[in-house]
Amino acid sequence: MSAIKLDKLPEKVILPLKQHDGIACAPLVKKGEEVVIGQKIGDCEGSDLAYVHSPYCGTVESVVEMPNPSGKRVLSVIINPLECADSVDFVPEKDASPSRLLEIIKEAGIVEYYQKPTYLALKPGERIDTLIMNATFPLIANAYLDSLDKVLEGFRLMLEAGGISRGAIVIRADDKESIKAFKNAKVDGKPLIVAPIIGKRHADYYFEDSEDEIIVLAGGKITYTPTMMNLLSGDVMGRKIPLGYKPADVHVAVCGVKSAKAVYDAVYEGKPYLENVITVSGAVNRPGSVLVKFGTPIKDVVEACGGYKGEPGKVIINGTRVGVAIYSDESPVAKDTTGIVVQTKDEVLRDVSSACIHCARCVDICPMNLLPGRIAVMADQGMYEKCGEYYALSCIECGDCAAVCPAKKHLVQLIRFSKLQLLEMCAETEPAEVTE
Amino acid sequence: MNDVLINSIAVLAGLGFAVGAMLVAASRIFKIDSNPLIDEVAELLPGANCGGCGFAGCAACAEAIVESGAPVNSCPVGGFETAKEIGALMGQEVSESEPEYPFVRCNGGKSCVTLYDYEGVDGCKAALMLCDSRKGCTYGCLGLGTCVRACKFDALSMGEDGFPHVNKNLCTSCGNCIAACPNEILTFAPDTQKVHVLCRSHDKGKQVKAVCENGCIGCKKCEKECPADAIKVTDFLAEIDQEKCTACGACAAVCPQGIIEVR
Repeated sequence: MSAIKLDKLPEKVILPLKQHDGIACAPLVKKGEEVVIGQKIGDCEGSDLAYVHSPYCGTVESVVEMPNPSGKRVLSVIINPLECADSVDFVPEKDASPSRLLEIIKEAGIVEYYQKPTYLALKPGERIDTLIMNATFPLIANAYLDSLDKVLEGFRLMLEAGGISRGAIVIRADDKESIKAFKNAKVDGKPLIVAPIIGKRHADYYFEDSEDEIIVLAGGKITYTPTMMNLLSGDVMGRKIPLGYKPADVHVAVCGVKSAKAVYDAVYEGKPYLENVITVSGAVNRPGSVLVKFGTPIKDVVEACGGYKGEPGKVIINGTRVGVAIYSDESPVAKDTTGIVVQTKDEVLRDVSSACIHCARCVDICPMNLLPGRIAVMADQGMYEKCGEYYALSCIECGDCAAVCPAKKHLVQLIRFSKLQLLEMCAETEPAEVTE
Repeated sequence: MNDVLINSIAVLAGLGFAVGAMLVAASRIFKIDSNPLIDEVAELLPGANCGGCGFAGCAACAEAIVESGAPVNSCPVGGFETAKEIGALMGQEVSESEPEYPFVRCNGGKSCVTLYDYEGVDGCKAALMLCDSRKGCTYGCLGLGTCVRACKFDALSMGEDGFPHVNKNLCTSCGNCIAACPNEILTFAPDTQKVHVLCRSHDKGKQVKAVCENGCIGCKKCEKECPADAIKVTDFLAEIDQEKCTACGACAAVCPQGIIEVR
């Protein structure tokens, strides 16, 4: 199944100058200036950066603060796109050294699906022995199956750039299309190993038996969202990550399918990160995956999917459970956008939360073994240090607790709030050892 | 039978005396010298433990006044009366200061565009974390009542117009509401200050007009009109220098948006 392409130019393109978790870029263009495809329009200095390039050619209408898909207002460059194909000269560099590869990835402004710039994800400072590619978004993974050899080559380049010896691609066990495609794919003329994760047979088990650099693992029926990095690395590698640690501490780095393709484009075609595939689901006439250039308003993406089915009640970015509903479909698609969900008016739940009845369903369901109800109560009362003691920062924001709560407590929002307050207070809680 | 009674009473009484004597001895030997002044000052304080003074509670405030030289009028709740009594204890003169009350620097409310319905955790801070302000204006009052809940004296209430209202009879000027507001809408203002600008927006006039009927557009009419040269428009927002202001009301008369209030 290939991705739907936008056949119409949007009226205007909004390019936020901050599309990752880090420093905002400064605009390089002024009002009235002409831009071409691939031109760098946002530059920044520092250690945590992702440059912004224009995926369209046209004239800059203005540089103002506009709402971006996460709901916050961000300084954005607004471009009136034109029907032209002028672009900067893309210079491919096929035989680059690992350090040059990393430089190319940085220059291209590639950002992981969890908002971290890829060059930092590959070289976080700690020793990394395995790179995991999260291909557990079936719709997105399927959209890239046409260009699977490019994705695999991009993945190999990422391993080379990061100096990482092994790569594991994780797909969903029920994603038959992907499994079939990966079984037929070849790396260096050899077919890929596609194996399931069962019991204690984790990635290490399969790596021991083979000399391959890259293997494919079918991991179960979970889609690992951006906040579920620890769970993903824990499940795939079988290395339990104690509360308060990150995947890099167990020598694991995580990347997405989109960034692998983007790395291929950057190295073999010289293109910066200009477009990716997002999924559109819910109350639209033709749901599916769409190949979108960054900066395209969500309105135009929905139009390419046949428009809204009836009157939309809510448009949610990045998933129904943990995503944020946007208040205007003029918001653009950014580098960290993975999907759009449209709900009809009848589907929108408007529950009023009531008092906690201490049923502990949230405790039973929490995949990180936290006490969501307890943390939420303390966050509500402003006891943020106490939230930290209960490992609020380890919450992966999967939204399971809020989904099962019979009292309809806003658990995820409260925990997220406490996390933010904790980070603001720069409280560094001592990570405790978990004995398993 | 009698022997048993007498013996047990004698043993218990003896034990009581012995333990009592030990306790008396222990309290003499391990006595901690505490300043009796601290307890006296603590008794004069209101005992609400609101934290308005900046200390952990009334006892901590009393200790700070006596031992580390905090000013005797540290307690904003007790006001002048309490300060005078503590001053008498500490041997310090206290001059009466003007009581200050929190005051809302926004006039948007219903006249400001609401972008979306907010559902979730009650409170402005939590709402701001999730998304941008639900109002069209990023500077204005959200009207979700974080300040109302922060008040321990029931002095604030959320009005029909979507703003917190201050009941001056109940307000103790502890400042909890001011600290709670994420948009810094509330500030202290004494009753002697008569003229106020009811807007916080630094947006350009056009942007303000697009979202709010009652916002400062930075037209500078007030600046030109003021005879005392007390009003200045900086970054598209009029600000009043209260020391120069004579409360003549000339600025309020010319303001096209009607956001300068003369009390």
